[in-house]
Amino acid sequence: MPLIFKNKLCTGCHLCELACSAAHYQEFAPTRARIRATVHAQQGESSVMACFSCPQAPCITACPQQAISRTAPRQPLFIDPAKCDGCGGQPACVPACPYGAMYFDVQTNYALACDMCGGDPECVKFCHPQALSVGK
Amino acid sequence: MTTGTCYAGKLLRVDLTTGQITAEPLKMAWARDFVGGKGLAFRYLLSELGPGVEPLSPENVVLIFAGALAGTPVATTARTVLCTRSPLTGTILDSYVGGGFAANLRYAGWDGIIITGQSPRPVYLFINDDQVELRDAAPLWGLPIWDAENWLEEHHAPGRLTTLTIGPAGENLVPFACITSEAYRQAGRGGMGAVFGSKHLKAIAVRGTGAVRVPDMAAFMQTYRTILSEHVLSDANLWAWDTGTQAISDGTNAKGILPTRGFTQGEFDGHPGISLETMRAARVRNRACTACPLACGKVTQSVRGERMEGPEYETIALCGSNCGIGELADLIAFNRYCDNLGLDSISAGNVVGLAMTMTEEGIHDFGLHYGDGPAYLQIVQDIAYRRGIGDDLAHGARWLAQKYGGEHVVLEIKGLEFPGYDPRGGFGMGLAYATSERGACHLRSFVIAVETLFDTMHPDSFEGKPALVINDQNLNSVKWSGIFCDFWAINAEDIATLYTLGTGQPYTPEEVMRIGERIWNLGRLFNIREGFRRADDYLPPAIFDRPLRNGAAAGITPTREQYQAALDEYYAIRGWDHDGIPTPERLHELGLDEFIPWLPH
Repeated sequence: MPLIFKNKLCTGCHLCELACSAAHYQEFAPTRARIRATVHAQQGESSVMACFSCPQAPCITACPQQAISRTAPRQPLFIDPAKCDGCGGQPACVPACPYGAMYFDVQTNYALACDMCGGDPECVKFCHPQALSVGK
Repeated sequence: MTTGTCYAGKLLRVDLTTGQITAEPLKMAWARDFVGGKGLAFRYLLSELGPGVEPLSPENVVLIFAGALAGTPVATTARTVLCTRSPLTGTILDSYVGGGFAANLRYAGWDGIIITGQSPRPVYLFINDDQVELRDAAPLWGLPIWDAENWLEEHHAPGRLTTLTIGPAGENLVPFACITSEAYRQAGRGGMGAVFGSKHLKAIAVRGTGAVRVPDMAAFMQTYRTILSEHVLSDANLWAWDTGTQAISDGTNAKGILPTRGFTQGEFDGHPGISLETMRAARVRNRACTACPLACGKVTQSVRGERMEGPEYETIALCGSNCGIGELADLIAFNRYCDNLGLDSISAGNVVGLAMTMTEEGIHDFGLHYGDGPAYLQIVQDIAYRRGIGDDLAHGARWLAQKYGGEHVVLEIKGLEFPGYDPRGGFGMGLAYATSERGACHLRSFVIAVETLFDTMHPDSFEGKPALVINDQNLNSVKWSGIFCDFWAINAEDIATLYTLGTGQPYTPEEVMRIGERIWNLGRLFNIREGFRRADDYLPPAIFDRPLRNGAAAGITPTREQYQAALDEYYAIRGWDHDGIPTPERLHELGLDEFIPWLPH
């Protein structure tokens, strides 16, 4: 059930970020999104990335607070806000992610991983180019 | 549920002369009456800029505004407006750029920027949320835009920085120099780049980590989702996704209004080389502005391996067929020079096409001929760097025609060169160009669509056109305050709904249209103050005297009498007098009483 990315179709519109932050925080704030679009304007390239709960999930072992868990492989990560302390602003999970898919909310000192919105991700609904979809 | 409004409520004021940077509150009463974007920029400019200021002097002012809805997911609203007095026309100038600058400006906590003065040395403005600094631009001055963009990104916030940058053309004060954002997007028209250059301002870079909020998120998203599926992702707009503007030349060529060989023809025999079919074959992928699902940008790669986002229709027309260029690789190379060196491609294609016509017709020998690719690719660089005859061309088409005897062939209004729709094949479009506040512009009224492309009105008549042009101008003035893009055919109802949901202030469709008319009159008041009158709302002689030599509109011209009658009708509907000056009564009706003393006695 994780997100699937077709980056050739990503147009770099950033709507996924806005849909995500609106759903989670009731505001439009790309830097609080759990999904991020990256644009290389001169090359005309863009791509999108979010946590897809990879098999190894090195973030789980990297976290010094044992704040990151999942119910089963390929299930969305849960980052316990009661345990995550943001590692004092230098979160260990962010560089541990080989996909650059772990983000960090500087406003609340909290690591941000895609939670799949409970199975019906808002970002997918706003991705008109269909670069985002939900896997089986 | 959150509270408040989509406005940040703050403006940034930057005095380049002293280096002083201050924050000030957004005047919320003005926000209510003028909404954002174009409306607010015009309202502030009329207060900030005194009469008779030389456009390239330190006394000129640059206003940069986000639209009311910037930073939200409402389609196309991340556009930015830049407003000043134009060095090319002397009129008020509003110029727009897509990308994501305005959204990031909002995330940084600002609705707009007021720039005054002139820096003693080259600088760039770095906005990092509420930390704002002028930085030394010595390492950037002289660099082409893409190198400058790369430098800024490397030195600040890779992946999270948006910029407005000028190139050598702006530094060299070419009066049709543009501002570039995200490599291929331009605030093109009217010479904003030269105003930056005169102020020694190389770039503005913004990084915003904050948020935009709306009064009721659930209501906002629920309503917008419906508008998105029914009125954005609809047949009226999805051409932008499918072909972007690259399809337009097929239609204008068929209708005989594609500027060809210096506007002497309306149909291009080399069109297959720059047609939609050719563009499609060279397409790599789609690119979008921030918050836009339509993704009109078409990344295209030439046979020489040069890639860009574009070319767009206006460039295809003015830099392609208008210069007799039917080779896509040459067109892409020319377009890349314009974007990277900082030239408005519409004006650049016009001035090169004009020099070719003047050469071919024996008026003056610039050594430039239709379709001569190598000379064409050299002259565009010479314009930006003001070398040789490039320095002559760098003054713009009107100046070039006046100096070398080409007044009877040049196509410009108020000094702004023509866009890509020949009004000999759609008379109403001529009226739209002539009454545009910034000179010949296709984005105030696109009446050409009903005149030719959709065949719902007669092209070779002014009948019914003045009212249509006025309605478009009013709607677009308030639309550009959102800032919605031309490519979303939005109506006043949806504008009112979205402004209400975003700002928390109630708007009706009727009031939205009244705001549009109010904004249009502000632009007129500025121009009236600077001495513009009826005689400046002209169509150039070539439109009356030189019929197109081929195509569906060949042999057709309006008469001067027909045009003057249409202008009379236009002024009458506007509530302006015979000389095009707004009447006190109309200003009062629009709530613009404070400007009645501006009217000449």
